[in-house]
Amino acid sequence: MAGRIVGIDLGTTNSLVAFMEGGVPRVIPGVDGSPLVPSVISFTEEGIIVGPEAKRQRVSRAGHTVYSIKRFMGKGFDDLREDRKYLSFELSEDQKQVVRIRVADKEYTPPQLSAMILMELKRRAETFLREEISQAVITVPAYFNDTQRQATKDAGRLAGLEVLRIVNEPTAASLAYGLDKKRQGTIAVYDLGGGTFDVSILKLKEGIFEVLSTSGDTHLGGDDIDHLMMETLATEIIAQTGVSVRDTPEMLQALRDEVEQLKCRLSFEPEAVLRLPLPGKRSEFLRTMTRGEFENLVLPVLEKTLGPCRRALADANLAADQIEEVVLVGGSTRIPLVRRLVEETFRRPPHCELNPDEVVALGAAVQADILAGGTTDMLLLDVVPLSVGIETYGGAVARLIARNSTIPSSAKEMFTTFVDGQTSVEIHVLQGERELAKDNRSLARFQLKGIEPQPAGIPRIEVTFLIDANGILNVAARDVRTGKAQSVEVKPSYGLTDEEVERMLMESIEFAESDIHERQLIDSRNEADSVIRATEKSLAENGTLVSSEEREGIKAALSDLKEAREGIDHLLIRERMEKLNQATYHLAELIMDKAVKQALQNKSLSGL
Amino acid sequence: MTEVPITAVTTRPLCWNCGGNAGRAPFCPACGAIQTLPPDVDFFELLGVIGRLNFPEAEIEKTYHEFSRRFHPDFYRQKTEREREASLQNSALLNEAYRTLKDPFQRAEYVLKGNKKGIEETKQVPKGLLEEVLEFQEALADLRSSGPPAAGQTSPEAKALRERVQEWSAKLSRELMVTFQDWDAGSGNREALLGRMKEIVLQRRYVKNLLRDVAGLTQESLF
Repeated sequence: MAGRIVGIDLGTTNSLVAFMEGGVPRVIPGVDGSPLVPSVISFTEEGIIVGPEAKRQRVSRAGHTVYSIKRFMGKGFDDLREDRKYLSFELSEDQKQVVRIRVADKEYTPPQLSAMILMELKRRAETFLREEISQAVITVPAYFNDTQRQATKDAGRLAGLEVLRIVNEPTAASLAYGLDKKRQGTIAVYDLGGGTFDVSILKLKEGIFEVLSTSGDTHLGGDDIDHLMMETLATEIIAQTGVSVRDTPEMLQALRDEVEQLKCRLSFEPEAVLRLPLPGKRSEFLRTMTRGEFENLVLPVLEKTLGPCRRALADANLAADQIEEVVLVGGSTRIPLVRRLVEETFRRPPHCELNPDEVVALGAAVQADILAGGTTDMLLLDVVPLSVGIETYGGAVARLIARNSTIPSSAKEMFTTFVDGQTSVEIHVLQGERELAKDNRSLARFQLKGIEPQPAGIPRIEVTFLIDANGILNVAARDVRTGKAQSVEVKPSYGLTDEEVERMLMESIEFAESDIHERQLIDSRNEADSVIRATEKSLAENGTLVSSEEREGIKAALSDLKEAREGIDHLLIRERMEKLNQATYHLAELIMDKAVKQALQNKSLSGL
Repeated sequence: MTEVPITAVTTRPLCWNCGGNAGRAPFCPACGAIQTLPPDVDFFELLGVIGRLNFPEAEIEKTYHEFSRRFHPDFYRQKTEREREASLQNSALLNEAYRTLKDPFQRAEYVLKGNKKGIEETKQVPKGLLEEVLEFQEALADLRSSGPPAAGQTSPEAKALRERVQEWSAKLSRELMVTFQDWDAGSGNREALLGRMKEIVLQRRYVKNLLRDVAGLTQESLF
C-alpha cells in the first residue's frame, strides 16, 4: 500500500497539515499543542527556523525573518512595488521575472521559501504519524492563476513532496463543511485570509460538490488591513513624537506586531490600546482605538470583497437570496464588520460554526483521502477561475477556455505558418478577462518546433490546451498530416522553468546534507558541554568516593571528550561521551547512594 | 507546465485492454476498461437526451454526475497511463457537453453547428430590430453622458433600462422554449425552426452585450 497522503493548507499567515483517520479529518498539532505553524522563516547562524520560534524573532531579527511569502508566489518584481513599503526584508532588483528575496547575502525564490514551510509541516506530520510522508494535497486560493499554482507545485517538489493535487481553498472548506451528508443545496464560501480573498458558489448534491463560479482577489486580506493601520499610526507617531518607525526594520516590525494584536482584540472588545515602545526619551507610544474607528478605517478594504461576491453570483446565474448558506473561512472573517457585510450582501447571517483557521486543511485531508481511494462517495467538480486565451495578430486575445469552466477542460486550436519554409511557431498564452493581450497575465510562450519547411499556410498543427484537475494548463501539439506529436518548448513568463526547479532541488539536497551535518555537530557539542560540566562538578564535590585509579580513568576520558569536542566529527564526540559515561558509571552510583542516605537521614531528623 | 501526450483519437471500436468490440461506448462492454471517447461524440447522445431539445437542466445533471463519478481523474490516480489519459480526455469532454447543453442558448448553437448553420462572429444588428436597437443605444448614450454613477448607486433611468433589457432577454428565452417544443413535437418545418433558432441566438447575443454595457453603468450584478 502506498504511503499516507496528507492535506496541507499553505497559508499567508499560518500553515497547517491534516490527515484523515476513520473517515474524520484531523489537524496535526505541534509540540506547543497548536496546529498552526506561522508561515514565518528566520535565518539564524544556527540554521533556518520555521514556525512559532521564527515568528517570535520577527522583531529582533527583522532583516533576517521572512513572512507572507504566499503573496509573492508567481509574481515578478514589478508586481510588488506597493508591498515593498511595508516589508522588513529586501527584494532583489536584479531579477524581474521571478521575484527573489534577499536574506543574509543569499537570494531565494518564493517557491524555495514556501518549501521551507512545507518541510516543517512534513516533519510535523512524520513525527506525529511516525511514518515517512512523501505525498500531499496542497490548497491554494481559488483565484490563483496558473503561474501561482505552478509555483506552489514547485514548492512541494522542492520540499520533497509529490503534490498529487492542488485544491482551491474555498472548495476544500466546502468538503469539510459537507462531510455531514445532510448538507445539500447551494452555498457560498467567503474566504478572507491573511493575504488573499476568494468567494466560491457551490451546489452540493449527493456527495457531488459542484463549483458553479468563483471570484476573488489574490492580493487582498488581513495584511492589507494591517498595512492601512500601520500607515495611519506611523503618521500619528511621527507627528506626535518625531520618531519615524519606517526608518528601521525592527521598529516597523514591532509596529506590525502591535497592529496585528490591536486588530484581533477589536474583534472581541469595543476598544483596545496599542502600546509601542519607542527609542529615546519618550519611551512609549500609546493609542486607544475604538471598534467604530477601526471599522471606518478598514471599510474600504473590506468593501473590495463585495465586487467579487456579486461577480460570482452573476456568473453562477443566481440571485443573492438563492444562496442557502454562506460559510466563512479564513482568520479575517472573525472581524465583526466582515460578518455584517456578508450578511448584507447575501441577506442571511453567515454560518460561523467551523473553525475558520482549520477548515481548509481539514478539507485538503478529505481530498487526499479521495485520491487515496479511502473516500469514494464524494467528488469535487471545480472550475478554472480565469479565462485562458492566446494572443492573436494585432495584440488581441482569442479566448479558448472561459472562466468558471469545470475542470478538466480542454480546447483545440489549429496553427499554421505565415512565411514559406517557417519551421517554428510561437504561441503566447494569457490568462484574464481583458480584451487586449497586454492587459492580461502572460502565462508562457510555447514554441512549436521542428515543423517541416513548407510553403506558408500549408502546415497544420493542432494544439490542445488542457486545464487539468489542478487548474494547471498543459499544452500539447500534433501535426495533423503525419499525426505525430509536435515538440513544444515552454518559456514561463513569471515562473521557474523545469530546469531551474531541478537545479534548486539539487542545491537543496546538497544544502540539506551540510545542514544536517552542522546540526548534528551543534547538538553533540551542546550535549558534550553539559556532560563535561556535570563530570567536573562531580569530581570536585565527590571525587573522593572512588579510588584514585578510577579518578584518573575518569579524568582521561574527560580530556578525550574535550579534545573531540573541539573537532568537527560529531560521531567521535558521541563515542567519547559514551566512554566517559561508562567511566563515571560507578561514581554516579555512589553519588546517588550518598544522596539517598542523606535524604533518609534528613527525613528521620525531621521526624524527631 | 508539462507536456501531455495526445492519444491519437480515431473511431476505435476495439477495446485497448481486451481487444473486444468496444464500439463508441465509454467503457468496454466486455472487460469494463475505460475507453477514450471519440472527440466528435454527440453531446445529446452522451448525456442521454437523444432527439429532444426541451428538457430541464436537472435531467442531464443526473447523467452528468453519474459519468463524473466514473470518469473523474481522482479515481484513476493509481491506474495505467492509458486509463489516466482516457479519464482526463473524457472528463474534459463530458464537462464541455454539460456546459453546452445546460444553457438553452448554447444548446441551440450546438444544434445549429451540427446542422451546418454555424454562427459567425458578428457585431451586426440582428435583422428587423434596427428601430429597437437605435432606441436602446440612444438611452445608453444619455446615461453615459450623465457621468459615472457613485459607488453602489444606480440612477432610476439606468434601472429602467436594465429592466427593459432583461425583459427582452426573458422574452427570447420563452421564444426559444417554444421553438424547442415544436422541434420535439415534430411540428413545423425543420429548416424553418433552425432559422428561427438562429435568429433568437443572434438576438440574445446582442442583448447580452447590451446587458454588459448597462451593468457597466449601474455597477451592479446582472441578475
